Amino acid sequence: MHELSLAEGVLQLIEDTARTQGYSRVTAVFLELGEHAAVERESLSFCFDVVTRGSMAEGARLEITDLPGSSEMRVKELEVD
Amino acid sequence: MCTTCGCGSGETRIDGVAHDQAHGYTPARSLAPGLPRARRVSIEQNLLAKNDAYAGENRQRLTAARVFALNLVSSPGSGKTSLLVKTIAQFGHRFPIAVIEGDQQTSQDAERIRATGAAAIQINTGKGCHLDAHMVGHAVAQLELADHSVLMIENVGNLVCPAAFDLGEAHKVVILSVTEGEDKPIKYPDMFRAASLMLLNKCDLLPHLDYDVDAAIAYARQVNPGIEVIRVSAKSGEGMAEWLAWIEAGRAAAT
Ligand SMILES: Nc1nc2c(ncn2[C@@H]2O[C@H](COP(=O)(O)OP(=O)(O)OP(=O)(O)O)[C@@H](O)[C@H]2O)c(=O)[nH]1
Ligand SMILES: [Mg+2]
Ligand SMILES: [Zn+2]
Repeated sequence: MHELSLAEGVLQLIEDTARTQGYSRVTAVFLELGEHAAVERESLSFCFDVVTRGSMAEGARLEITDLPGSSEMRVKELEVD
Repeated sequence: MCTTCGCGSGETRIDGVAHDQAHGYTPARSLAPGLPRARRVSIEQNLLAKNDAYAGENRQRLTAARVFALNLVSSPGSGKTSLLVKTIAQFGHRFPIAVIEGDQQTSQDAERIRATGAAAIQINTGKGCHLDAHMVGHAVAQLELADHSVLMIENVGNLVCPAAFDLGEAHKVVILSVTEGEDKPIKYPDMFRAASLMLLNKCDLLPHLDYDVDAAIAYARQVNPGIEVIRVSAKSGEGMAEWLAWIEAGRAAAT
């Protein structure tokens, strides 16, 4: 639906968390996506690649796990350098 | 900065002021405790839940002030601003009406509202395709709403995304104009499902069109059996009395 702005939200979260957790590169993002979240997985992956270009998460792997019955989109964990 | 609501907040402006300069908001994060594994950072944040939290705050604040708030949603150009101008002109003396205008760019709609004498705040969403509860919360704070007033929030013209974002309103009102085709409710069902009322606008044009009003209403009720429908025209004033009655009933329930 609004995958581009959600991808921007993920990047923002990564950058904010970097300030408290002290990392400078993110190599993978683990995300759970609810079946009723009205978010298209393919589109989210595509948008994530686009918005992270030139950022600390450039080239990071986005691993999306489906969450049946949920309407959440939950960022679980980052793999960082 | 707003990670909230995926609103393209980098470009969001409220009455021309950059959103992330207008306040010192830092997003609440809950960093899960536990053993930090090597080069793994745990976050546990539901990106979609933050909007609902802000919407809840807005609703609490509006309810406490007995403000009856409506979220007007539609595709671009259905006549939202025209209907608001007409509504203020006809009913502005009965109760105070304040307006929050949402558009990607320009403050033209807020200016149209201010020309009627009503208070208006313009939110420019930049790249964002919908208003979110966080932006609306800031606009509400700036408006200094009178007790027992009516707040009209004109969302960004978009028949898709605004359906998913609660702003803290009492009801969503969907405007469908008769030049858009009868089938919009079944093509964009989320929006018509989320709305309590459908205003079928531009009815003054019906004599010039092949539009099937009954079919449009049937489609709307197919996706939302409980939806109320009022035929209106911002141009001729048709249906305005019914629209007023609907607002008055809502205000009474809110106070
Ligand atoms: N004939 C007729 N034209 C109308 C009516 N309501 C609005 N219009 C016209 O429709 C066009 C769009 O009206 P707006 O009020 O700007 O529509 P809007 O939904 O606020 O548009 P956005 O904010 O850009 O999404 C204008 O040219 C209006 O004059 C109506 O009831 N009848
Ligand atoms: Mg408008
Ligand atoms: Zn959107």
